Amino acid sequence: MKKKSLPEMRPKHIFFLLAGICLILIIVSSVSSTTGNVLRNGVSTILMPMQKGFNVVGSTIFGQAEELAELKAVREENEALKEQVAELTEQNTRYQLQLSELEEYQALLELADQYPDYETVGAHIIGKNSDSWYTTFYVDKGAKDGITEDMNVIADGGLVGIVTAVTDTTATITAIIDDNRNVGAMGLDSKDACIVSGDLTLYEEGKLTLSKMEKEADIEDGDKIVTSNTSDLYLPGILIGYADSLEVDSNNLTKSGYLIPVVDFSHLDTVLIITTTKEAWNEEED
Amino acid sequence: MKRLLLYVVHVLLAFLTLNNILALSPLIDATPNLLLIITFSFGFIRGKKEGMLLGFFCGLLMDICYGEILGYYALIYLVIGFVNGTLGQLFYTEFLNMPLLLCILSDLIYNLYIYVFGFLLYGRLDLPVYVATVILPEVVYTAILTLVLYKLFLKLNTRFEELEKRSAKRFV
Repeated sequence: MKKKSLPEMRPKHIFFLLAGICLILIIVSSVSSTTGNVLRNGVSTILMPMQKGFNVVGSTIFGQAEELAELKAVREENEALKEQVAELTEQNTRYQLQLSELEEYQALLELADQYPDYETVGAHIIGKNSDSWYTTFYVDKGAKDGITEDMNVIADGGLVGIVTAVTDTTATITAIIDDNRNVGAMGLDSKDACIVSGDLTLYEEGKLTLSKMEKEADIEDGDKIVTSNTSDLYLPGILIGYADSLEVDSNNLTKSGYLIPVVDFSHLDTVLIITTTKEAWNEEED
Repeated sequence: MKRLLLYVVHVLLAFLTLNNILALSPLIDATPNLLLIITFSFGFIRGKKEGMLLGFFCGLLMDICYGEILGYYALIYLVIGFVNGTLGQLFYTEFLNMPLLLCILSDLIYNLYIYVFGFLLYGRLDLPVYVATVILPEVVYTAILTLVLYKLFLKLNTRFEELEKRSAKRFV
């Protein structure tokens, strides 16, 4: 329709007009993340049923078609169990965390409350960015289910990423393996701070980088790395992965190495979204 | 109007197949960029205006569902639609090698754009690694698919043009 209403405009002018629109959108939406919400809501309302449908078709094709009838019931059950397993694994980490905390501060027993029971909402992944440059997922829960931006996402008992955009019925999750995503982290036992960052070239090998750790930090290969209290966006005590190949940097002040995530990012289908943001959590603590 | 519908169906089909089936499958490492194929094919066959508008909306769709910043994908798809539209006016359209060449060129431009703005500016300097792990597989897959899809689009287009001419005659 637009084409017919613009018959006299020269292609060059349309090009500059659209490019201008793009630039304005880029500038405006990088300043305030809520600008595109009307657009996002409109599109997701129309597309979401189709995306769900395609996702179902896709998983049907890739699942073994011959055993479908039998598999369906099992799969439903499996789905429910998976969510449960994820929840339990997460709980388990939390308990372990509490335990180490407990050992450390047996005298100050009340400190065990530091890691509250995070409430979660289960969500299905229905789409993934097809571009190999980025790892963002599209899930079927949105603002109507209480999801807001900056909520942490977990699965398999480990950190998956963070909600970066929300519509009424869907949400976009950016994974921690996405290049340039940084997570403030610490060793589970030693509490020494470090930074976990995504790196596309490393993820091909299933790793993330682990850096900015003091040389004397008591973290060794194989140690559990969890999110730290000091992080702006991530709630404390969520397992990220295990430290690997740590070495002292050339500046002789810091250590760095790799982190092997607990989450298998290529086989994700259900995730849990923690319904508290770090900001809200901080306020509650105060 | 019918053409608009054709485009909408194409874009949606490609978008959904790509993001909701192929990208999620653990069996497939690199996904061919179907939206890019649509943008540059129709840009090449039908000219700047349509290539550009198609590209713009394809990109916007990606931005809306998967991007944090709106306009990031829209801009590059727009440029690709425009460039291929311009080239389409200069070259003969039914020579198959030309689309293949353009496809590779378009995909390279697209990936370089993302590399420069999404990675190089953050200090990721080792381009060869990215070429080997991300760009090359995608270009190869996209190029192979172009061989099949471009012919299909061309056929669809000729049939559509005939239809349009016929209905235009009827009105006279």
